[in-house]
Amino acid sequence: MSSIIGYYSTPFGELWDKSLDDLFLEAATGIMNDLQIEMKQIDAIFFGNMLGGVVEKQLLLSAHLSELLDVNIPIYRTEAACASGGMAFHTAHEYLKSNPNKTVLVLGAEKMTDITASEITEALATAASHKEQSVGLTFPGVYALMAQVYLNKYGYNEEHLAAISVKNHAHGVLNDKAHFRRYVTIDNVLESPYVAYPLKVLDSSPISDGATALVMTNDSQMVQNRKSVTVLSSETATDTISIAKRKRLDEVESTKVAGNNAFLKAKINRTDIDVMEVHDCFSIAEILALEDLGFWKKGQGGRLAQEMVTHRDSGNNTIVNTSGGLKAAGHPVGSTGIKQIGEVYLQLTRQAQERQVKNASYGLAHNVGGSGGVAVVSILGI
Amino acid sequence: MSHSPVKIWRKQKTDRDLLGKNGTIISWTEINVAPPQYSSKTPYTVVLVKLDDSSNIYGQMVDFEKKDREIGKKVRSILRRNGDVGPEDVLEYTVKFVPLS
Repeated sequence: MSSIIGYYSTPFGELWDKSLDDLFLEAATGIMNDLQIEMKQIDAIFFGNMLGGVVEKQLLLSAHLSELLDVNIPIYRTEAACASGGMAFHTAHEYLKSNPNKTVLVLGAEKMTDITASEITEALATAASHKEQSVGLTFPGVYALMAQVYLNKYGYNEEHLAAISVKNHAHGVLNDKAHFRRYVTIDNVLESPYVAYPLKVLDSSPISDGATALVMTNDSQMVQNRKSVTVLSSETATDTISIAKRKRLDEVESTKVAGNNAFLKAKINRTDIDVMEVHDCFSIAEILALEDLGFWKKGQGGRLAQEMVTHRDSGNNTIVNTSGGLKAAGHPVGSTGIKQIGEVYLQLTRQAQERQVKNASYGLAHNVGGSGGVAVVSILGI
Repeated sequence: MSHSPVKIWRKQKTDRDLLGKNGTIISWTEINVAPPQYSSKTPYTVVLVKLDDSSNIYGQMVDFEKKDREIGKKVRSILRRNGDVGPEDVLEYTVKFVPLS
């Protein structure tokens, strides 16, 4: 059984004075200092990064980490687009299952603001298929195609989508690491310019820099006297790169499969989950996530989103995206999956300060790569 | 993505099989923030179309009125210029869609 014993996050945002290496170094040294442990106690490093090769023109980032941290231990990089971080966590969890008495560092980092909006749009579109890219379809464009089908099929409109952003911004106000700490209204969202119809700027997660770190272990000595949570399951599933090849456009199959497997392995029920970080890269994505993870019935998500039933002030039992989600906390893509796990860790260990959800014992993190080509669902318990 | 002339040459060999076909719009979007190759063309419309005789394909939609750009409307595939020329100065043509009237 593996445990998470610590979490560290840099601020998320436009961090002009930080390079990708600076971000990695801050996250790694930050968590080491917090936990009072040394690099020699770390047996391996797993890290998520998507765009190093495209934005920074840097691959072999494992050697960068070796140089930065002065280590010669195994370092594994995972790339799964926006699920790169979740995949690093999943891979670390798999590693610990087969290697007793090990302690690993899990990092996620992304540097996104060094290039123009058009260039980063092209870079992120590398997570879409060649055919999607070759007709000028962008990443928001692919989600917009899914949103159109969903709204049309179930009779919802842009106001239903806007409620997701309003809720997540309200949560982000309480997160001192969030990219955006301000409230937005339904009207603000509806009046913001279109990125890819029907999705607008305020339906979309921002372009952010940031890095995060977790320490995971299956060494009982390391867990002692530390605030820890148990990893009950971490499951991943895949689907076609092109949405054109999918049976349905109003659901994400990889989320369904990974979610079902994660609940089977964790041996708990959906009603047990108190806090959840789901992948809201666009407002529509949070609605699809809650339906495909089995919390909402297919087609009811628009109405339930509008009622804000997962808002921290709703009085309900399952609160979603207490960090502010990708929307308000920011979305440095390789870092996001680690941040989601980290937020659940903070909630379950009562370290979430102002945004603490009372009596949270079980949490879930859901990270998606591309338009659903990869999904990682992890369940944690105290 | 890379705009290698070889890649464009490879793609046009299969594009010709997709021309002059009828299909139905499954979904559509209008792109306002585009990669550099298409930046001068915004806003432009991309449709996902179910062809009458085969699978689903994407393409930009051109020469239409707003009433034609809806889920369920019929379209026909045609050959049109694709975006701006890249660094290799290759003028690329591709499959696009017009309303079936």
